Amino acid sequence: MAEREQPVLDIRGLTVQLPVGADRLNAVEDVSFTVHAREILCVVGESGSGKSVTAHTVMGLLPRRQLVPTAGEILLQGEDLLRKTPGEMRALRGARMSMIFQEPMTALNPVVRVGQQIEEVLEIHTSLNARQRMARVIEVMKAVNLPEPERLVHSYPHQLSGGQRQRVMIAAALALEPALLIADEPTTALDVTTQAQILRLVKDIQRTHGTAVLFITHDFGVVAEIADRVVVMQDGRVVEQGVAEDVLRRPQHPYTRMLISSVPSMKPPARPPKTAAPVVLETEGLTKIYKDGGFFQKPRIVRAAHNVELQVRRGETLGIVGESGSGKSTVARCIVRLVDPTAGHVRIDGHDIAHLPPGRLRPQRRLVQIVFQDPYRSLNPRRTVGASIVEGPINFGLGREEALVRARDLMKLVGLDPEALDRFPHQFSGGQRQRICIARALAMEPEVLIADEAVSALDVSVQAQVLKLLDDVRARFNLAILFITHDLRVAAQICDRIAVMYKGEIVEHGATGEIFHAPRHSYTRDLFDAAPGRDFDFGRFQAA
Amino acid sequence: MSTIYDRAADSAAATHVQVAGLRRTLFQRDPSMIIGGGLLILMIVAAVFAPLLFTTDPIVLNPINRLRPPGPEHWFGTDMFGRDIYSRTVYGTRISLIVGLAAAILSITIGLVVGLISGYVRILDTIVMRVMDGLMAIPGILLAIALVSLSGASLATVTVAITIPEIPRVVRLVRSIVLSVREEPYVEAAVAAGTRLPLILFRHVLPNTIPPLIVQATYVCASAMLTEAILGFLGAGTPPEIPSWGNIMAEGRTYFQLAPWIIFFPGFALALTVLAVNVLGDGLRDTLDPRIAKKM
Repeated sequence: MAEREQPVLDIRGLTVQLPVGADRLNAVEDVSFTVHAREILCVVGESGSGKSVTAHTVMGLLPRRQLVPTAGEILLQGEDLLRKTPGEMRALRGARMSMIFQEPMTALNPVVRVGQQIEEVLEIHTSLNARQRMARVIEVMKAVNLPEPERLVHSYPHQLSGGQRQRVMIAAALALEPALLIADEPTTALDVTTQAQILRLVKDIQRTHGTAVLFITHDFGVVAEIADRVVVMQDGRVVEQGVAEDVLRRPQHPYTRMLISSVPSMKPPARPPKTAAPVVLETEGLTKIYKDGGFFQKPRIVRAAHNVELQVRRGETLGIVGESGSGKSTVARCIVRLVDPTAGHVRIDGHDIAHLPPGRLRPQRRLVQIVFQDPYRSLNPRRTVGASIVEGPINFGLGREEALVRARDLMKLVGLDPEALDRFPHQFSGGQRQRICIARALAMEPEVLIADEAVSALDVSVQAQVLKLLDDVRARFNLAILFITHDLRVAAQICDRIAVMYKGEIVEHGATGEIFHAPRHSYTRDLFDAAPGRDFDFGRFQAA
Repeated sequence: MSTIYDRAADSAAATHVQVAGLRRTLFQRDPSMIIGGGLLILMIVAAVFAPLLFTTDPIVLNPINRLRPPGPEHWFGTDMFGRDIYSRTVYGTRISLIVGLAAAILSITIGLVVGLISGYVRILDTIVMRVMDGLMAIPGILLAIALVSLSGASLATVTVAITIPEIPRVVRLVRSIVLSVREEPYVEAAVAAGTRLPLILFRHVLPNTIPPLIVQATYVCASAMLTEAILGFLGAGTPPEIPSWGNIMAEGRTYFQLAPWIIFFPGFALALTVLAVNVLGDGLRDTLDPRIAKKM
């Protein structure tokens, strides 16, 4: 580029102060970067890195009095946003910069028709009359590829799918052709196939409208997919920035290298098949049907799982892969008997537990343990982690002293300080809590461990550690692990075999290597095509 | 993933558990709690030590000193039978507080048990909640009048009559909390660990219901004291010989133009007590529920 034009967004030395008593002084410290027209800049970082605070500062959406910008300037087309009055900022928001959020359901008002929500932007910022506004609404809805915009304008958000809602958000953001679009993890809450469509849409828009896009994400797959340039943030500071290709292939900063090499590869490592080991967990014709509706309504029937057949051998990890609503969690909950299966058999060590009454089920509970997705809700906040770990063993007749000895051993095993047993869950990070949950499950000495999206809520570097821990305990205790995930990368790394679920049924099933190299079912192929950054082999750095 | 919200969730979770820290900040954060709590403590002291507070026997008649206005002899004046209004008002504190506290404790206890069971044992839920709907349809005052006319006026009857209509509100509150807490992964983990139902309820579910119940208890207490006074005023409350605030005001009603102090002082005491309890309740709610507190 011969002549550098003025950047759309130019952040110089931005510092945002955290309230007193936080774990560090500033949420964001001395952050500088620029976004040019027709450019997608990805800001990547783990939770707590300050990437969202940066985006919210630009929009002037910081929680008042809690987070205060103390230094630097934010130039939007040359004008410093930090000097604007709230009124001036209001005029800018929507018109010259706009933002889309992570959760399209909560970002839209559930009781206002979507057309009206897009129209609102026009009503506030333009002098168009009602008919012109409606025409423009339909135009932008077409631009974001919403089907039948004339009909959809009258729909309420709950009548749309997650992907359609995010499209509506994008349509509203684009209605006034802003110079800058800020996207804060816009695809994190979406399924991978929907995510692929939204990413394509963002790219198209940036190309056709010349919009500058500031894209916040934690996912390097997404970065590889859409970024022109990348800014890597750690603990509120920019540690590295550059052209996407350079940062991803030749990262300079050790933190970036660590982050990128933590991204699980799409290439499954070779794993010896474990055909000799005995089958510990087996389901046969497992079916769960949810019925809804009271006395007077027509019952709504949802087939959450239909005729699911699984076999997991001792020492083996079986992955169940699928998008939200595919029934993978239902299968897990049926096996743990948190819900009662409608039909079929669940055999643990040959004993069918699918329809045991509570009294006879209880002794069998020890054999199957589960680790949940959300580390913040998996432990009772009012009880010490020690009390949480020993609860199960004590239920099964172990003395408190012996149970505590076992808990201490397990804390060591999962890589935590045994002295921390007296602490409460909020004193631990997400990854540490997930380790505690694994320790709690292992304290029962189970035969089968179910990990229901157990690493999905964790940052990528922590995720890699917890995955390794899971693999270690599997080998050490010769456990059968049922690993439920939506993330193909994670599945590739940890699973011996994979079952792909779609609409409550298993559509494909086989060794991980086979599935990844030659997916047979069309849905499996769609899943693989949608995986962001699938062609990118993270962690194989070229010499700098 | 987003920093701001993670932090908020973290701090909310932290505030939830740090009981020791909570006690420390309890009174710093909200001056209204000091005012409400202080007034209430004053009332309790007055009730407990009534005989020591320069009072005379509140029921003894002294026809010579009828309808005396407030003065050095009788601080709040006397009524038409010459009874000392100051003494009667101070002793009346006992009745109000007993009824208020008893109604609060009774309705919370019963409501808690019913709510826990109804929220966790789904088969019973439909039946229990329809019964509660039925109870809610009964006006408290009417029920009290009916009960008093059936079994005679006594402190116990009045308390029961006030408690029953409050129970459904507590049950609904507890049930709604149970319904959301039972979906929490840590409760499910306890189920998977073979913990028996009573222990799950007691250990994992019950603690979540305590903070909102404390707040609810203050509102029940305040409204019970008011209802007791209304019943006394209507003549359907505690027996007339007991000096409750409602009774004093009822008796003073006919002499209102002649001797307004008979109504004024117990009325003022009632207003002050109910206000104190409500202010305390508001303060407790703000402190125990940091989400609401932050918005204020």
